[in-house]
Amino acid sequence: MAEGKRRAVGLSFATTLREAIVSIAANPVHTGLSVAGMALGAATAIAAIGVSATSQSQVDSVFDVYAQTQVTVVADDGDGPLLAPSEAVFEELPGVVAATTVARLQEFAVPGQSRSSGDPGSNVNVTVYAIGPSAVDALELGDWTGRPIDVGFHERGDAVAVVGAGVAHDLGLSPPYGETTVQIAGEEVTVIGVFAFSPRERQLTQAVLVPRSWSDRQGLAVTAQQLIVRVDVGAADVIARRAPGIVDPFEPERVTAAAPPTADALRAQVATKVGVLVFVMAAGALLVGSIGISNTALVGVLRRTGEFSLRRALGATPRDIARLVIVEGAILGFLSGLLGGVTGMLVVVGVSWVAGWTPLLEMGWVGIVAIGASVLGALFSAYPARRASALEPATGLRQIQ
Amino acid sequence: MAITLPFRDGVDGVSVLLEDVTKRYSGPPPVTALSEIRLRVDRHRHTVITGPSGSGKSTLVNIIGALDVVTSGRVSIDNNDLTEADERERAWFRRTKLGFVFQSSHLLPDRSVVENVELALVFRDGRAKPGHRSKAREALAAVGLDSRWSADTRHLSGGEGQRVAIARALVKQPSLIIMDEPTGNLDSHSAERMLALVRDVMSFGITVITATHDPIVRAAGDTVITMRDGRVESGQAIRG
Repeated sequence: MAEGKRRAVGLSFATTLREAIVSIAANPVHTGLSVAGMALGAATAIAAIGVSATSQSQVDSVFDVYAQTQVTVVADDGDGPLLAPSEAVFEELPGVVAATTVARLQEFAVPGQSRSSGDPGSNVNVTVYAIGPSAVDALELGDWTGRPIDVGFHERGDAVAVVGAGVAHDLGLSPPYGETTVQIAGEEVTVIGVFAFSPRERQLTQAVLVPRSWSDRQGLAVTAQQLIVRVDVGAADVIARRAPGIVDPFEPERVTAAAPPTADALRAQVATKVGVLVFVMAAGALLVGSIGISNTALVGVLRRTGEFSLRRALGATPRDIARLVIVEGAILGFLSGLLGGVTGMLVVVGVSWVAGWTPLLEMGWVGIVAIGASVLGALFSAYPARRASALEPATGLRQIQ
Repeated sequence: MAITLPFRDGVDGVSVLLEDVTKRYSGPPPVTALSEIRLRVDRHRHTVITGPSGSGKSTLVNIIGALDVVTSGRVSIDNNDLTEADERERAWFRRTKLGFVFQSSHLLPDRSVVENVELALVFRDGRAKPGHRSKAREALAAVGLDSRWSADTRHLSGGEGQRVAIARALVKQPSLIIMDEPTGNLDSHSAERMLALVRDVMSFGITVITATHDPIVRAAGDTVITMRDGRVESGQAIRG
């Protein structure tokens, strides 16, 4: 059989491709079932990528505003005395809007007010912060009822406080303010105002703020302290670089100034995190679709036992059969990717239209997904191909009599 | 139809030679389908293999058709020893030297009549060639179905399907056509027509081996071999 061995070449790839296309076209139900699962996966992948990319660009434009205009300075060992005197120095710098220390004092049990009679109610544990004179500007505290702590209160070290809306509710405080008092460390402190908006330090809406000058006079212990410097857009990087030398000219290395990442870096950071999440979702969706192709291919192998056996009788090698099944899987994957890709694009356009966003679309995604789905289709057809090629033609032909 | 003998004639006029062929299936349960078969099939004759169900007829034609391998013994087709052939060699032998007709015509439903016939040529040559269509039409003409060349195979009668199967076996000009219960799904009239066609095919110089239960087919053979329990019970030359 030397002649046979020499001439035993299989079907050409073009012929295999043609055979695969004819088989796929001739079995619309089988093809439809195979394509549906994978196309759903591909559509999910494209929609997830597209919607996340589109929404991400919207999110960036919103949260950049505060993040880009703040420098946060802390000193080693919470060295508060170093930070407070720096407020005025920072405020002299070009590009700085305002600066304030925010010193976290210990937690106090403050007697609440009875909502009906004004009698003392049960104690509420509240966190108290001591702030500098420019705190309202530096922290952009807003939505006031009553009044903020102005420079006069600070200079005199008056026993006054402003409270976040959350704490005001917990303590049962109500207007008019300026007459209501709360007890902090055994001292009567007059509440002069309530704020509901604290975009830079959101935890402050659940806290009581007192003048730093009053808390220093009372000798209240500071548990943590930072200096918040509100800057103009674009100034954060420069201010952050200069901050250690301003706070402690002798040992600047003890001071850390955190500037926000630049807009591009921030966007890249977010894009990376969202991208990884979306990639995992997309890969999962395609994987589910691939398993569908594998499953229907396996059922197809059982259904096509007679056909594969006939092909073997006509001279096909096991490799010819395996290659046919794998090429069919690749074609089905490609069709699924194409169909799913276009569907996913339409979903992105639809979601963007409803949300009033500008859709961010890359037509290249469809091509990438189609090729990726084709590769997955081929890979997940490997096992059915192995089963098909292992069919004994004599056995298969006997079964289909 | 201009069909020429494709294969060199053996000098001894022997088409198939089996020497002490045994075929065992490991099971479970283990089965000895053929036991020490010694058989000679002469060239250009119609040899009919008959016997009750389970006697080993189909196993024997599968081995002769290179669709199965022996457990022991030797198989030679037209002086080509298949005993040690691997799957690639047997595939090459099937695609170039042999034609098959089964009980079911095994036509691909997604192809037309002529495309089913062409498929044998595609496998023989490894790819589709421009001349395949005309050769397939010639083979269909030889079995009287040229007018149905473009028909959907799902619309063929059983007899027509088997004639297409014969055309598919014939088109690549094999030296040997193997038929396994070819009339099993046909009425007697269609079976008679098919046997007449087999006689026509043989006029092209092709050897035919048929495994069958059918007494009509048995009566049409030049030589009848009867099998029982995996052994040749008797061999009888009816004609020639």
